Amino acid sequence: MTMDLLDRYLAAVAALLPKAQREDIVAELRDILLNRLEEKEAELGRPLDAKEREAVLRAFGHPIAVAGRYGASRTLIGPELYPFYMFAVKGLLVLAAAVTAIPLVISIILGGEDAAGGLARFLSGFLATAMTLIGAATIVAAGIERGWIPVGDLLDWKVADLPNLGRPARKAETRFEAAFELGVLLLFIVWWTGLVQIPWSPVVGQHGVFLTAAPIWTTLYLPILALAALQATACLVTLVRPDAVRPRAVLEIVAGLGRLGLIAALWPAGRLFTVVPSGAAGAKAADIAGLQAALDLSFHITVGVMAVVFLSKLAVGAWRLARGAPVIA
Amino acid sequence: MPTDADIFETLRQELRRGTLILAVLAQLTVERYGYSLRQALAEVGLEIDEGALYPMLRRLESQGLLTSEWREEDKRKKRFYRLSPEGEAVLARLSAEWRAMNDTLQNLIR
Repeated sequence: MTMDLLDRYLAAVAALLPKAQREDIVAELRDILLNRLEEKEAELGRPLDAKEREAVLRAFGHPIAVAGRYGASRTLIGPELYPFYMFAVKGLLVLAAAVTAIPLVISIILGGEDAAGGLARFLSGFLATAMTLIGAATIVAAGIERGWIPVGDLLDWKVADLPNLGRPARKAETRFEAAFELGVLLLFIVWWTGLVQIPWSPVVGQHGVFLTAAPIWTTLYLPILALAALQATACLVTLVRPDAVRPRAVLEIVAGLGRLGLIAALWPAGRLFTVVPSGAAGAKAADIAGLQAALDLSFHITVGVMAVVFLSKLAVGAWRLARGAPVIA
Repeated sequence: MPTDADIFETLRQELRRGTLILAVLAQLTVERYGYSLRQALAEVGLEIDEGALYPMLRRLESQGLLTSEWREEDKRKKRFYRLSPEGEAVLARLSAEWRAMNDTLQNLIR
């Protein structure tokens, strides 16, 4: 026996309704639809044929749309939350571009990748990373919208907390930049601790040589982790309390001292990467020595520049600590 | 690109949305089931889509403004709605708000 069209329609709607209300809503929908069918019969002055019955049901709407009208929430992310979500998505796109591009640029500089191949890898890597991050942001925003993720007074804000974009000196302190830096640091921490395998680890095994991490990295494993955690904390403070100038300055000074300490430990080690031949078809010893010397030299230049940058940041931190919170007129 | 007609339709829908709730509450000072409620609204010139009406009735009931019960009429089980005491209080307040708004707007759009 063929199931009546109305029953079929209602069964399709019922399957999409919350269990607790299913029976109740379906009973009501049945009454509504029977009324509609009777109305149509009265209009035509005769019983409806199958085609006409179907037309009435079709006009009522697709089962997914009909069931959707009874849902508790009809928007994934509401208009209140949406601007914050879009802001986060834009930030995540920049983050995705940065975490995809930086290792590739390093790889290209080290000669492990040509520019054309790098562009293709950037596009595929960027798409995958961006989609994953946006997907995660959407799930989090939908969770906040439905109250599953409590945000408390996180979205509470004061005008005095807003970055003073009219003053170039404070541009670097915007919450957006702190959020971006925090994201990058968290990614670094999960990579450093081996919690996740980054799919785009730089290609360094070409041209007959491998670059392996120098032993100094093993020695400095914990200090680097602690430094990243400290820096992430500083970003978090900037993000949550941008007006807390002095606590931020203290954290920046401690992190700055930590970075200088790191440089002091790295300098005597003399190298960050060791060049080793790959397999039987490895490069000649002279080539390897040349590459190693070039790497060591670039390491010393880079570390020297970093020392100057970190010292200037320390000076800025000390100045802020002395000056304290800016007075808002 | 939305046409003028599209823009007008969107604005009209927005304008109508809030007033429909007031109309539904006002019609449910006496007990009605969904279909008869829709007919009563249509008779006074307020056509309302069933797809919007029934979820609205459920929402108002979950907010405590309506009560409902299933009863058999014309050999069919029907769900009858009417205002709860809270619904009556809300209707009175919304009606006062409507009148005040109407007076203001009458002056503005004269």
